[in-house]
Amino acid sequence: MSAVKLGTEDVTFSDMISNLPDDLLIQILSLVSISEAMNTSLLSKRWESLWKMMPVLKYVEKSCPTMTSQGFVEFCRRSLQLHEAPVLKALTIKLQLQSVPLILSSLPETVFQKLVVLKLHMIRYLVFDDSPPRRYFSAGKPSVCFRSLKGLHLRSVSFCDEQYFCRLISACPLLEDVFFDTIKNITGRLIFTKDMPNLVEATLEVDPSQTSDFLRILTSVEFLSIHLYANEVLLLADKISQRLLRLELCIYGKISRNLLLHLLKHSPKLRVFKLQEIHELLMGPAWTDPCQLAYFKKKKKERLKIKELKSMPKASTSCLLVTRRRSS
Amino acid sequence: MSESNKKISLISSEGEAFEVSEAVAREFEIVAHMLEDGCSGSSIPITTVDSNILGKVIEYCTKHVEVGNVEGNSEKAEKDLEEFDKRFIAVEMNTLFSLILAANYLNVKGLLNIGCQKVADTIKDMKPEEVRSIFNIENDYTPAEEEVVRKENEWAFQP
Repeated sequence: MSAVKLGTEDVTFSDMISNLPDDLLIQILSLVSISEAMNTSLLSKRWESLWKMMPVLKYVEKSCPTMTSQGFVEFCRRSLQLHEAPVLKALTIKLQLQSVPLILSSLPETVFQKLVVLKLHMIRYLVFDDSPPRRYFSAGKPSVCFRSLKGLHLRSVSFCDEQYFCRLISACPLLEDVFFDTIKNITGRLIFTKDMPNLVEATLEVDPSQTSDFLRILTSVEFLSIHLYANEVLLLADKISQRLLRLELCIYGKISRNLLLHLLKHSPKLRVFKLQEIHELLMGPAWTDPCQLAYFKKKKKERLKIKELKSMPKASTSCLLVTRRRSS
Repeated sequence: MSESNKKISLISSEGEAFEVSEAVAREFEIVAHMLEDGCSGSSIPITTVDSNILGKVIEYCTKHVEVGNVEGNSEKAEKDLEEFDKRFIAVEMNTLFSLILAANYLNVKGLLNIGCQKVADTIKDMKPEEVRSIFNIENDYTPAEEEVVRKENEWAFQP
């Protein structure tokens, strides 16, 4: 490298792009659609396997308007089969509103071995595997397993059956980070075959009526952002708060001081606590100030309670309780 | 402010000195690291980058430091900077790749990003033959080899 002069002098028009190091070419390929990246394999031998070494793959159906929905899903499956990098750091699949079901178990076996973060977006029907959902409350043993998966991000994903959701969760034994936003079609009770001992970070923006089921599997979590009905806080305190370092709690309804006290008492390691109460149930919650450590959004009259909270005995001596008055 | 008034000389591969403020020099992450490691000399040789390219990289960094220092009206400033980036990177191929390699070596992330993006935008929507002729890539496949790759892609694209 040091012997090469990076200049423009004395250079006739030569193939400079092919002389770029692999990591730069891979960076460039990551900026075009996956189908365009694959097409570069036809350029020359230098390019033949470059796309296959990309550590991050993004499949966005909208970027392939010529394919049918079925064709696009099959394209995902087949091109993943050609991918050769020993580790796949992240795989994103984003379909469109009117797409065919995505069957996870039909992805190539290598994906289950080497994938670290899976991001699914806008999946109308997500199916975990071909085995039919069982009738009663059992997820069944998952037929495939994401052996390296540490992150699972689901946004606007609808499961054909809630058991597929449970099977997916149960098929990720190493999960450390989950992000669920607008997961649809999960109405019944969720039964997971395993809890998640490695899960340290979870963001759940799902219907608060479902979160109590999640609480049962989040027993090891350290960073948690969750929406709950006020009466479920008890479950949170009893089930999972022992290890929590950071908690962002969005409560639907009012939380009583006693309940809050109970929660703080049971959270010996808590360092950061952010609380928001949503009084109007129709309104979606929104974190207004992410840098605040604790943010109490309450009506005027209740402001005094913050003081009382500060004097409350807390199990964790290192837990910071910071509040800020909103200037309005 | 005294720190940002300090001047540093960056020496190109031809030995030409470019005097810049420390703030601009620090945009080169490789230089920032040298300074943090206690390399206190006021001139730093950049032996792998020639004067032409080094001058351009400095122009890029100077603009970004200037804009970064102005407070307020950030939206307009951001737009101006975007415009500047666009004009800055609209160069012929050899210069573009020299800039990318220099940005990679000097670790100027913003410049590396717009350089790679420019190449990516050029590849977009192009047939392989067109990409080959734009970048002067020699097709070293034998017809049979090329057919194998083409078949593989077709298999993936047209189920």
